[in-house]
Amino acid sequence: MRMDSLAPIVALLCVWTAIATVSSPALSEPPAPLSPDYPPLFDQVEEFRLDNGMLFLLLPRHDVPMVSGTIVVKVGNVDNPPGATGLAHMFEHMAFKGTDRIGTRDAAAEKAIGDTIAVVGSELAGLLRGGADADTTRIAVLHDEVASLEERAAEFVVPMEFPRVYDGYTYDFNAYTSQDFTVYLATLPANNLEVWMLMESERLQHPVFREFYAELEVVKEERRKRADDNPEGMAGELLKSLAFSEHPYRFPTIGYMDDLETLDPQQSYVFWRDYYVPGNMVAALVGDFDTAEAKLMIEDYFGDIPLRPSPRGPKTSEPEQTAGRSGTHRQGTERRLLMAFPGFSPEDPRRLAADLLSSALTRDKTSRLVRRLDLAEGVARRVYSSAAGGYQRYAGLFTITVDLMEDATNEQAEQLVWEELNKLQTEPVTPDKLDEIRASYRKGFVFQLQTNNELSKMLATKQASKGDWRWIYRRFNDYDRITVDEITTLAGNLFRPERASIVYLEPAAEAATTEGGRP
Amino acid sequence: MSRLLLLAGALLVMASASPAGTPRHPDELSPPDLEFVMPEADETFLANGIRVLLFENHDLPLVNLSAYLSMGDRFLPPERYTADRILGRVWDEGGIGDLSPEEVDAKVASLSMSLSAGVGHARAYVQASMVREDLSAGAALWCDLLLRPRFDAERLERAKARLLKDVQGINDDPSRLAETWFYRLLAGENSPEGSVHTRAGIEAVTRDDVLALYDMFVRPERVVVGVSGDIEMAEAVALLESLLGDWRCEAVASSPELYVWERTPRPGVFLLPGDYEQCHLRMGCGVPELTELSADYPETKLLDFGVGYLRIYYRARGEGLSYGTSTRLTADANRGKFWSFGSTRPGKIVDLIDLVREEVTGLSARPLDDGEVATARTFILGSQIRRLETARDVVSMRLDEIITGLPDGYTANLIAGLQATTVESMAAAAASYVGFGDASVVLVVGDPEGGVESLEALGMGPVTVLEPVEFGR
Repeated sequence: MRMDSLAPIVALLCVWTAIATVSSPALSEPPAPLSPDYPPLFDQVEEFRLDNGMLFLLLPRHDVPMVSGTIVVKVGNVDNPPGATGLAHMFEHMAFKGTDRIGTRDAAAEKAIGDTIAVVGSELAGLLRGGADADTTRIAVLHDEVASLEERAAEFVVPMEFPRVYDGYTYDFNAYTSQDFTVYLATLPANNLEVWMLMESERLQHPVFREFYAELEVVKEERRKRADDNPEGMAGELLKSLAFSEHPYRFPTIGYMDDLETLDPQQSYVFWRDYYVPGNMVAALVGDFDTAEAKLMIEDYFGDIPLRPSPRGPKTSEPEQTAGRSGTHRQGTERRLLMAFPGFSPEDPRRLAADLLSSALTRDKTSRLVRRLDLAEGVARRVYSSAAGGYQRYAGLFTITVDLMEDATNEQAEQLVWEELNKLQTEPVTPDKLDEIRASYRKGFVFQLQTNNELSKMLATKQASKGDWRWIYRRFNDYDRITVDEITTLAGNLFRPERASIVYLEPAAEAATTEGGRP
Repeated sequence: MSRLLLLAGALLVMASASPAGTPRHPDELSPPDLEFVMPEADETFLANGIRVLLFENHDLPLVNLSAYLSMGDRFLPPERYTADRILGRVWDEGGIGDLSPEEVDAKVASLSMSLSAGVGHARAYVQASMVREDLSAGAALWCDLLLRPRFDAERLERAKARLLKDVQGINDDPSRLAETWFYRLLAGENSPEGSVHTRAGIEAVTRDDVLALYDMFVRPERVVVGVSGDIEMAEAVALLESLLGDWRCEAVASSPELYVWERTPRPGVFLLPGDYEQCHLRMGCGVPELTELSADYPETKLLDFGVGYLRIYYRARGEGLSYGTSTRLTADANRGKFWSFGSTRPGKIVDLIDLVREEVTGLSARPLDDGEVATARTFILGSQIRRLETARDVVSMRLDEIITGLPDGYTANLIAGLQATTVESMAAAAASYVGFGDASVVLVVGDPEGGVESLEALGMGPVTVLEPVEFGR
């Protein structure tokens, strides 16, 4: 079902321009050589922006006849409308359902039924959002009607043609949705580069929201697996719901089950129309291709995507946390301690210091929390932390997670964590340790450059999140400027009880229960 | 030496001439053949007879060192599985040479290298990756980890406690519960696949047990070494001679051989009750006549993908039944197995089982067609090429072949075999290996709607309700 007819506003927003391209040289201001963190391969990166605003980063590498492509769309969980948690992720699923050419036996006949499904689905979703007061009789009728319509539409559907066909040309293709971005990944034999162009441009331009309700059931299954039957997943949801009181980061990317019940095709269509616009997308290709040929193909396949205004992104706010928050989730048999502190926005220079701090706490067996909770006290099976350093659009969380050993308690682990966090003031991170961490970033970076897939992801995601892919090596100079005093001050301001949100995952005697927030 | 392969159009079957304008369906494209020069590692031997594989790549300043050993629980009686597992866990944690565990941790952190050892069912590895400037220090650590691990007593106890915790983690994860129970039923509780480490077994392992296993397996005649990355061959050989050239062990009367254990399968239909939002399915049987050396092994690689993914996975998703249900047909050097795995909501588990059975039994009437075979072939060929993306991959693949006893040129022959598959040869292989016979185990974990009766109504036989076990408690 093509949904264009359902939203004539699209046509009003489309501004057709002749295809022209702007190609920039590899690096307008080459950075100083930073061996080994600035290998010469980055000299080969070419930026190629279409007139419609879509940016491609091209990096030829000819070792193996493979190409990896990544497309990052700047849309994620934060962009979902109120009451529609999971919509961005649901759309990502729908992006595998095909187009008006791929996956259909009769596009016109299928569209006619699809338009009706959209209308019925909107009414059904509206009633379901009404909650307890909704007209249950009408809901049942509409459910039956949707099922009957999807059955009729199935006559014209080539089931799962899009992924089945893609399988025949790729080694791997996948996608994921985060709080802030949706990412489409593929690795192909080099001779199939044009297939990547075709498949990706088709689904960006001509998605069809076929088999929507069947796919919704798949998403619900995914939620049951990753969250409902997963104590750690549920504890993580509780932590986010505690740590944010207003910001959409408080919602799970996969969506709450009761919200999933109310999603509908029309809503997905509007979501696609508003967010899948060229200026909101970045692509990277790395591998065995000729750049000039690739650019011609890009023009052919992606140049037709109409120029549309890029979305503004949601207005977000989060009041300053002034009191500690805590909750308990009881499920399963294991214990886990989850702690969160308000983090920093991407532009905040303290964000990089937070990376270093996180590494000082949990990078390896010489790190403070690992040394104390795991090696010295035997309380932790695993300790890890995250400063949400490289890949978010808004201020996230600094998190610390401790998986407990058999006889350890959450209280015991929490006390040890606080002791170590407080010790950062009396026994600051040493300059040598800081240098070691910085060196590990530089060396670790070289390891990340080995595969096309990793490089392609790195280029596209950093361009989308930082506005400049060169951040992937320029950050090393920024890390070098951070001092021990800055780390100490940061820790002192960050790790305070009144700024902490804490979740205790505890074993459940019987059915799962939650105290302190959602879920 | 390298081999040039032309991977021709797995896809040309579906291709047609491109009409004017930008194509909008892949059928309108005619991709060219893919030229693939298969990279091959060079081989040499050290003075003491250790076989060495080398592959240079100077694009990035990285060097990888690997030692693969013929070692693991497949060579051991069941009573030694737990010690073997703990050996694998403590090997790279327990100190090496003159360095305590803490000193090794500090050294590895200061070099920002990766240094690891582990033991699988039939092979073990000791690996190090480092930037070129740290080669000297990193290689020395790698060598000491191979030849002079200390198995510090405190770290040994830590490894034991962590293994116990991992076992206990099975109880919280219905998918792991299904996996664990399935192999217990399929191969027996004393098999390498079906055994589960117990608290008593873990607590009983001593440092002497671990040392005895190390001494039994870590010997020059059971090792193959690989070097890859930013290092010249001559330099690599000289380095290895300096590190390993003097390594010799006293001759032993007999070297460990694969242990032949008695399989004790319990075919039938089983339900493990559990209060979950989903029911988890495992259903399958052993395929003893299939090995990696079987003449029709290439066909089974394509069947694995074609049946499991193209038929079952996509149908289950298309019908909104499951997020990920599939089948696998796999084999190692000794035997194969065919099984299905997946999950769905309690009200749909019977439908899911029906779907899987229908697709599997229907294969004889509706074998994989030209398009499906072509798709599977492209995917599987691609996965072989992808295994060779980095210098380390090239060496690792060959090390794997050697240590598992596969003949020279195995992968190249496999690729040729994959290209030679036909719809007919695939149908024959499917008839031989794909199916759920009387020896099958069918296991559902969860709370199916309709209870035991709903499973019995499937007509697969009486349902045995399993008594839950608290693993590791």
